[in-house]
Amino acid sequence: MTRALGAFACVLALACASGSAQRKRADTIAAQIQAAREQGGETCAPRELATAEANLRFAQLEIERGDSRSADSHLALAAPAAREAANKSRDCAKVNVVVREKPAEPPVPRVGVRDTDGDGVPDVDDLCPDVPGPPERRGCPLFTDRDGDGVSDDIDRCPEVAGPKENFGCPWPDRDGDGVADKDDRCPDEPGPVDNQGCPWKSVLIVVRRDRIELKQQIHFQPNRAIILSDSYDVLRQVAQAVKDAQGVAVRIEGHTDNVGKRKENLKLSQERADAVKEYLVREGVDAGQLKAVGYGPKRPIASNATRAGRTLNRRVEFRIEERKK
Amino acid sequence: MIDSADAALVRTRGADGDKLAPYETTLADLYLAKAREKQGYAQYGDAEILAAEARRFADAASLKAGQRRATEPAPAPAMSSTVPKQ
Repeated sequence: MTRALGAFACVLALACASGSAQRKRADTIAAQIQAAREQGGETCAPRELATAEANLRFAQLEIERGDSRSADSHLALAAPAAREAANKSRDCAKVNVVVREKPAEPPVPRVGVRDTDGDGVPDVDDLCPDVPGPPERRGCPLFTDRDGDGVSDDIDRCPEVAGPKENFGCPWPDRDGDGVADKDDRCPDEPGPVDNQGCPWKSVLIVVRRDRIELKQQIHFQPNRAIILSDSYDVLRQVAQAVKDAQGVAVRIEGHTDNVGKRKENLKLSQERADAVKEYLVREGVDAGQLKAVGYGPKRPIASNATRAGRTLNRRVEFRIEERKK
Repeated sequence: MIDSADAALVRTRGADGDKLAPYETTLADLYLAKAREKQGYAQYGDAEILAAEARRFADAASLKAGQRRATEPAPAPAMSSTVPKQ
């Protein structure tokens, strides 16, 4: 029993001695860590410093718990890390340079400054040297109007181009570039003079009379065929428009020929030509019910068939206004 | 608490904490490892204290990494070796 007590006392004494030694080691490491930290270790050797600090803390914890073996292993990790941190920090510590004598600055030459607009901002610093303006705006007036359209630049959507205030300082758009703004242009995509409201002058090829539609240009066909030539499309379009505009009107399309050739064939050709014209008008949007095509052949000449000019006049298409539907 | 510290450390690593805040990240890493060790020995009180410390360091590392990324200039784009298409 006495022996056992003696052995326990020896172990306790050893443990106490070991704990005391470990605390001393821990204090030494703590001092190294402190030195490293003061020399900027956190920046110069962050990983080493962190390793040293953490292991020192763990060692202290283990010493408190009485686990000297674990404390030892942490101290063994902390010590080299602290040394390494101190070394690295010493190498990268800041170097202070003291400048004992500062050379005197050369005197700044002062020159008389011009201020043309008298706004207190010298011309060299004045962005608007001819217009007075406050120094906060570098000598420019509060609101400029670069394009001079009476709309100040702060609200002018086109500050470089003059335009009316109704369009926020921008010029009115003019798609066809005819000088008539789109808002006043009845033909905004076709250039035309101002006195025709921006529309091109179009030659009027027909005259609508009470009983007929008079053509200023005859309708042309391929010789001996019922195919309309393209130079007659304009006049036919105008006829179509006129018939469409007068919806209650019925129109008789008359085909006429000269007397050259067989009568029967002339009759047939004049009918086919009248039909071709009717078909064209219907394609242009005229109601087919308004139109009637009749071929008269050479029966109704308007000039002598003895001359070439007379025969040309006799080969024709006429539009007769037949009646007004109610 | 250990899980929370672990998650915080993962976030820190995602924020490039190893490079931008190495001091705090290393501390968080070591404290978390020690907390796990203590938990393994069923010393839950110590484990919790260490894990809380680990969490605190991880958060500090995230914050520092974020601040440094905001202040540091962006890296110059790498030069392409390919020939641009005409």
